[in-house]
Amino acid sequence: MADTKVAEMSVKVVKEPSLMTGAIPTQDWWDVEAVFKPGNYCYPGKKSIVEYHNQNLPGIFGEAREWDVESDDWKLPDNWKEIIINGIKERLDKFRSLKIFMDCCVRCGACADKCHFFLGTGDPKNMPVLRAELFRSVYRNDFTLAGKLLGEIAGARPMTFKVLKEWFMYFYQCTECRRCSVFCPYGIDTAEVTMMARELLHLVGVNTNWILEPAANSNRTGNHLGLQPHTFKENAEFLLDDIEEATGVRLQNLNFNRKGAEVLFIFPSADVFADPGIFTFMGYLLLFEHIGLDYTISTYTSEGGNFGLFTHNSLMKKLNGKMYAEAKRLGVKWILGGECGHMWRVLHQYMDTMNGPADFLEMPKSPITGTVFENAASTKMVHISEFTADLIKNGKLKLDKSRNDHQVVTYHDSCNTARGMGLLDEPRYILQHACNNFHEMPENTIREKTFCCGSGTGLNTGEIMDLRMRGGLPRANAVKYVQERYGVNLLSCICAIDRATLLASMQYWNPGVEVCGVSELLGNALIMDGEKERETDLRGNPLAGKEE
Amino acid sequence: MALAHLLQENKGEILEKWISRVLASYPDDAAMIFQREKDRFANPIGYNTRHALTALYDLLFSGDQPDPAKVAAVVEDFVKIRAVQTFTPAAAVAFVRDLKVVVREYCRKQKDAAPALADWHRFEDTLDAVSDQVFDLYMACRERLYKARLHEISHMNHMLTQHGCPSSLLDADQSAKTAVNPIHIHSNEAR
Ligand code: SF4
Ligand code: SF4
Repeated sequence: MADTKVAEMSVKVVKEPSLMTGAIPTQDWWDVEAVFKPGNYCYPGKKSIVEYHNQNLPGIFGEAREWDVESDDWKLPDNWKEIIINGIKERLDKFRSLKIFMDCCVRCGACADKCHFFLGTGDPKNMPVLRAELFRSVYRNDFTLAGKLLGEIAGARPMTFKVLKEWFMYFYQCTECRRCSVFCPYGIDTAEVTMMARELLHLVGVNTNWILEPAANSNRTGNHLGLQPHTFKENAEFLLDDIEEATGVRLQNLNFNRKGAEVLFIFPSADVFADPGIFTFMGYLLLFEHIGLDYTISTYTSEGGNFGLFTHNSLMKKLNGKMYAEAKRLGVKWILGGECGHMWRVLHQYMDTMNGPADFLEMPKSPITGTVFENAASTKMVHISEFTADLIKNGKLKLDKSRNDHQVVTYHDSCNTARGMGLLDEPRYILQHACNNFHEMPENTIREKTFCCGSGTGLNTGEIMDLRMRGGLPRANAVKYVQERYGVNLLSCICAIDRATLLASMQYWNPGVEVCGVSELLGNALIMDGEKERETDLRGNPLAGKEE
Repeated sequence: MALAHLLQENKGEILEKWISRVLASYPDDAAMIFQREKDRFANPIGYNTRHALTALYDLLFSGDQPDPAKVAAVVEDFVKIRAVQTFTPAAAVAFVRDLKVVVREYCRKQKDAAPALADWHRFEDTLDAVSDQVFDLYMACRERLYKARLHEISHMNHMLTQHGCPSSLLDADQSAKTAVNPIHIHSNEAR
């Protein structure tokens, strides 16, 4: 796989499109400037939003101001370079992994063609090795002897505005999906380099609104949309009508902020307001009713997703802390988590060290099967797919698979749950028991090698739709294959960002393929006490054999 | 030699040149990888380029004038890719014209291959027609992209606007912002 030119880091990266000019200018990669044009960058954070964050966590988000990404004056603080270099120093001391990732890349090129952004754009700076090199070159310049002595010859370059622009461009064309790390012989995780670079960018006030505003909303009202408790509750309750229409059963179990419940259920807020997440939410409620789970939902921690993860570890910690605070206030025994991607990344990798151990909670134990979830012994938080798969395994669910016969289903492994926490088989186990027509996508596009939806880490915003489509190409390309080969018309997943962004991706790349959560399919299959003869699924689509 | 015959006889060589030329619209290092990697899932751009151009070549030179429906079927996925990349519209669809150049260069190098003028005209007319069609396909892709974006905006909001979210009381000048980014409407306090 070694790519000699990349290996030498003398990559020529610019070439005019064929026939357009006749000229073929080539330059070394670091001579090529990042040019911002409408459609290739996210809107910067609003002044009011940055002010809001600065009140809560001073010193992390730089100076609040209006600034224009396309201009050459980003209104940076005078000492911005110093802030960044000191920031790198601090992080090198604090995070050993960063130092290792800076030093140990041998530029073998194994990761070069593994990133969905590279595969969809053809831009060499989207090769993970080069992405990290954007950072590493500055590190070399200021923190290695060779870099200090030899400069460019040793691959070192000082921090300049040009470099800053490059960082803003390419660390926001990385969804921190970690696919590259799977192929790296040294396990170098470019996602972590991106996280560090984004933290540094934040320090000098270079940021994006789509991340900062949801994070502000999550802090303020508990969910990224800033829905206030009554609205959140009303939206959720409204879905009971839809459930009744489809199943004939009026659920009585939906409740909020109830002290003394056994389980606190936390899920991505998009599941109560956005299509198709709402159908996943219906699935959760049907499941809980089916097994008589004693649970409650908190309107204070009504967002599973943690937008802090995309900014700075302090904000991530603060937002995450709400889960335990609320579990304590409500006096629950343990926490159940819904179908969310980055919520689980945070939970699995950081929650315990940041805010744990949650000694005030009990070891999670399924009240229905008695299974003790020892894997969650410290965080006390169980994934709904684990929980559901255990119920199925113990024969506790009455299921009629044929109610999903009108669908031909495939499964997209969300990066965060698949690579981030190794949750690979449980969702598949549920799907096998909830539907008859299931087909996997090709081996090199699923499980640990799954391709990102293309819009994670706060890139799921409308102004960069073209870029999102490019990043989403490798995933969509694999879906297309199963669509053509098996007639797949439903792409299931266990992540709210996927549910939102794969929808747009499918509309563009593979019309005819809808997107759903795994719990939605379970909800269709669950045989409820007192139900009517089902004519439609939860979306109101006729079941197989029930078409007009 | 008749041009049609030449194009069929030398398909392998001409096609490879065409594919290389189109892939050369990407930066060198990318073009190299897109050229080399044969797994269609590990290399969607390379695979789709090769696949579409091969199928189009067969359609173009299998005898009759190519059927537009068939042309659309073989190039659509490929045009879809080009339509969201950083090319200008002209550059995105230039791959049809690239074939003219490749064939012309090929003929120039073959001493005994000087196709008749009429042949050339027929060949160019065919490619021009396909070129026009490809541009229409390109525009359809762009339109589809905007529709997907509109759908995303409207679907994130519809539950809220229907069910009495306070945001529905926001004044009209805020709606311009919501059209850009639905999240704005819910953060009056934070604004
Ligand atoms: S990051 Fe790993 S896979 Fe990529 S070039 Fe460096 S050593 Fe090789
Ligand atoms: S983490 Fe994912 S998006 Fe980022 S460089 Fe690696 S493969 Fe690309």
